[in-house]
This record gives sequence, C-alpha cells and structure tokens, in this order.
Amino acid sequence: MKKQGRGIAGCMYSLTVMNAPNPCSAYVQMREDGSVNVQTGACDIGQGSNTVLAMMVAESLTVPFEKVSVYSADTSATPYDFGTLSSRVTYTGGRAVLAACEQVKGVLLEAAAKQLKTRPDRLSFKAGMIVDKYDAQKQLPVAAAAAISQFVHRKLPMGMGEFYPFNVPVDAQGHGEPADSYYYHATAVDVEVDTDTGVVEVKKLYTAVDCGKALNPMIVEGQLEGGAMQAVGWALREDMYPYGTGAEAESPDFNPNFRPINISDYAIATTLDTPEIHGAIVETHEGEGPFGAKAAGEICANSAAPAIVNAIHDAVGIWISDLPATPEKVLKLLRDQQS
Amino acid sequence: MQYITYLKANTVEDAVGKLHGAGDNAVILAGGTDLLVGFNSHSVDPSTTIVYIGEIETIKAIKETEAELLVGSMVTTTQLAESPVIGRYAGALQQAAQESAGPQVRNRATIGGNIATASPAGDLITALYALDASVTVVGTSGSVRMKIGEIITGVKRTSLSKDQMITEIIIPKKSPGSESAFEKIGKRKAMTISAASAACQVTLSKDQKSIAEIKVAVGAAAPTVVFAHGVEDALRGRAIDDQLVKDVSKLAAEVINPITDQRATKWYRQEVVPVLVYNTIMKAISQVQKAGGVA
Repeated sequence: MKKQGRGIAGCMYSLTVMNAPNPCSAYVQMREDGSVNVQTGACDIGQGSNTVLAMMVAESLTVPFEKVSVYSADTSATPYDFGTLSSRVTYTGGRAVLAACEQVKGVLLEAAAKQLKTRPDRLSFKAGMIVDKYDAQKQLPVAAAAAISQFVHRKLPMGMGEFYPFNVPVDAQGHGEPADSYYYHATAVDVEVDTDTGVVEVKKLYTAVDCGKALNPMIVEGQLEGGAMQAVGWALREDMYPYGTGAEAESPDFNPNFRPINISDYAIATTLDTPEIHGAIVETHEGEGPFGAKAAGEICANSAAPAIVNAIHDAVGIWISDLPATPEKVLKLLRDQQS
Repeated sequence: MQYITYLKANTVEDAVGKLHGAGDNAVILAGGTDLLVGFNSHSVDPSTTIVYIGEIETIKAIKETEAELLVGSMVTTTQLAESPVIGRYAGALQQAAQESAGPQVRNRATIGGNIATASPAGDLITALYALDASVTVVGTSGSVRMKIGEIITGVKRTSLSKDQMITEIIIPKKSPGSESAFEKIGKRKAMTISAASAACQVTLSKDQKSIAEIKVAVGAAAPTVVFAHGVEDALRGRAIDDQLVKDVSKLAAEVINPITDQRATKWYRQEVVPVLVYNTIMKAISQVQKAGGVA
C-alpha cells in the first residue's frame, strides 16, 4: 500500500568560517582599454563564484560584465584565500574584490579629475562614464580614464583588496560570536511510502533560501535544485561505511566484499528519481555583505533530509534515526511497528 | 610479448569457425557492456581471442511468424524497449528492457549478451523465463534449440560450449486474453542493477473471471532466475481474487535462495519478492481486462 506524508524542516548555517581568521584577497587592475583583470585565490568549485565576482567588479567599475576576466585559485599566481568552505566565497571574496575596486576607482577619479579640470570628490561613476555630479558637461568614459592614467599620469589603475570576516572566537564559557553572519533555509516535502517494499519516493519538494541579495538568481536556483537533489540522495540512497560495520555484518551470509567499493553501487539520484522541485529565493539585505549578499551554497542541501524523515513519520508513523532511509530500513521499522 | 587476438566475424558460420579455431580462449564480443567492463577491472589472459559479432547483420532484427517472435541475438536493449511488436506480444520483455540500465548502455547491450552473461540479476532473462522463451544456439556441431532455462546453469554459467553462440531468441506470441508484466526493485529508478525482479505471463479464461494459465519467474534472488511453480499451481484455474493472489505470492519466497550482497540483504529479498510477484500478476491481469480482449 502506498501512503502519503508531508514534512517540513528549517535550518540556519554559518556563513564564513567559525571562530577562525579566514581572509580572502584580490588584485584588480583595469587595462588601458577598460577591460579588467581580477586575480584572487577564491576558488570556483562549480558554485559560480568566478561569475559572481566578475559581476560585482563590473557593477562596481560600471563596465560591461564581458570586460572582466577572473583568474582564480592558482596557488602559484593568485593572492591568498582561505578556501571554498563554510559558504564564504561570495561574501568574503566579494568584499575583497570590492575593496580592490575602490582603489582602482580612486586612481581613475584622480586621472579623470585632472583631465576634466575638476576635483575627484565631485566625480562619480555612471554606466561606463565618470561624470561631474555638478556639471554634467564634464564627463569621460571609464576606459579613457584608465588609458590617461596609465600613459599620461604614469599611474596604473590597480588595487589590492583583502577582507577578514568578523568573528569573536567562542571562549570556554561559550561566549563569543562564532561567525560573521548566518543564513537560513527551509524545505517542505510530500513523500509516498510503499509499505510493502519500504521504498520512499519524494513526490514534491519545496525549497527556500534566505541568501541575502540574490546576485545571480539563476545560480541561486541551481543551488536550490542541486542541493535538493543531493539531499534527497543522502536521505534515501547514498550510503558508505567502513568494511564490515554495516548491519549486514551480523548476517550469516555476510559477504566480506560488502561495501560500496564502486561508484555504480553508490547510487546517487538520477533524473528519474528527481521530485517535482519548487525553489524560492527569499531576499534579505545583509548590511556587511557585498551588495547585500550572503550565501546560497551548502545550506541548500541541509534541511531536505530532516523534512523527508518528518514526512516518512507523517505517512507511516516510524522514525528514521540513521540515514539513508533505505527501503530495507523502512520495511524493517514497519515490520517492528506491526509486531 | 603476447597480445589479445581480435577477430571480426562477418557471418554466423564465420563466427563459429573462428570460435572453434580459438579453442578454450575464445570469448564473444557483442555489445561489450559486460565483457569490456570485466576487461577493465581484471587482468586479461593475453591468449584470449575476442570474436566480434556486432557486424553480423542477420542477427540484428526482430521478426515475427504466425506463432512466434524471432529476436536476433544482436538486438539491443533499446530495440526491445522501443519495438511495437515486442510491446504487443512480449510486454514483460519490453518493460524489463525499458527499466534496464540507462540509455547509453541500452544502446549497446544485446539480448544475446544478457543471456550469455547469465547474471541472476539480468532483467531480460527474468522476462524471458516468464515468456517461455527458447534460444537457438549454433556451433560447429550444428544448430540446437533449447529453453532459456536449459542454457543458464548458475551464476554467470551457461551450458554453452566455447564454439557455440546464441543466434536467436524465440518467444511464443501470447494468446488473446493473455498479458505479461515485469517489475524490479533497485537502489534507484535508472542505472541500477536489480536487487530483485519478477515477471509473469497470465492468460485469463474467456469470461475474464479466472486465471487459465500463468507463468511466474523471479530474478536476482537465486543463482539463476527461477520459476515460482508454487504460485502458478495455486492460481491456475482459480477465480481472480486480489487477496488470494497476495497470499499465494508468498509461496515465491520458498523457491528463492537469496544472498546478502551490496544491493540488498537476504532478508529484504525474501520480503520483497512476494510483493513483486503480486504486483506483476495484478498488473498483467488488469492489462488483459483493460484490453478487453476475449479469447
């Protein structure tokens, strides 16, 4: 018999590494044609940080996104970053590149002020132009300011930014502020439990993240869906354990080769196992974050598993206390419940 | 240094000749989805002779006669999954093909290879048992036809000699009032090897109220696919009754001899085989009734 259940779960997650210094640094240089070269240790492991950092640089310097090249995570060539962990790259890397961009802008404003015969503090950046706020006649393309600075005033438009996220390491009494900021996630699922086979199927999954400002909503959506699939996988299927420690070791038929030694036996979800996923971006403004952003990475895989466990309980009244909720475990608990 | 020998056969006779010439070291390469995976994970005896049969055109088609489907041994799982003829006369085989592996493997894997590999978890084999399929085997001593169950003798063991190859699978066309069904359980819905599978063919009486004939096969729960004769005997001639089917499906647990491995424990296989048997029988019955086909 197939029984339906619904479950929800929410969570919070630290953004930036807790209780430890975890800086990021970046070099930014505008070339004489207005293109921008960004170097940073911040590592894009597929989460899209190169894209988002380029977007931030483009926004800060008011140049087209296509003009920005990001060279990242080459330890022999790029400046320091702590690493891609603890959902810190957009936040920390963003602050580092923006700090560098401020220095580049300072150089460009000096050159533009000389060229336009005005003062730097009267100038502002506006859609690829440097404009006198009080005399709109006085304006200069950003790229021209870069060339003039480099060749006429002999000053390269470059900057070097760093950012240390705030934290006060927690002391022995438990006092402190472990992380710079936090972000939040919730999942709601509808599941179907086959009481004859123990197979659990997630039919619908709703996932929502508070990511601060969603700098690239498409990437956030990708994180929401990818995180959901990852979570459905480890909630229901993906399992690994050291040799001979599974429950099966007690069986008289125990096979000593029993463990997922092949990726073919470590069953990540396929598209056919994918539920109907609905993602929601809950935008907030993080005052310390670059353009108000927080993060959208790891947390997207965090609340689905407890939501699924809650839904299984709602459907058939059993509690899974040991993931994954394989058909075998579910069926065993259902049998125990009957007896 | 000795290298593996690779020979390409152009006809069945050519293949048999080359297999005979290579003696005990001959292996047949068809789709390669099992053989080459094995080559990659174990050291290969350099005296091995591979005889490739993938370009023998005469064994790549699905044909039909008045009473039988004739499936060439090089027919791929994709062909089985998509063929309207297979769908019409051998539903269990089509369902097994559709649920087998993923598209890339289905495009390469062949029905002959699935049989010759003789894995107890071979999905196509379970369906072929239920469909009462026979196999034509050609060797230097001539051509013989035998039941699928006579070829497969154990886990990855067959009665085929080194110079024999499977050329054709013969499936009797189901009679009107008859349907077959297949169901498997694995870790996920695709790209998964069965932890257990079941297939059946059910023929209903003319009034569609009782079961006239039934064949039930169970896969991945014993060294070979096995028939659940106890279930068949308990249902043959009986009126259709959901509870009865559910109760007698439990008899399937008596004929299996499952092991605990990376895909499931023995306990789980014993629990789930009767469920798969029940599901396939009810599925086949409802398909006959839906088709409204009266014999």
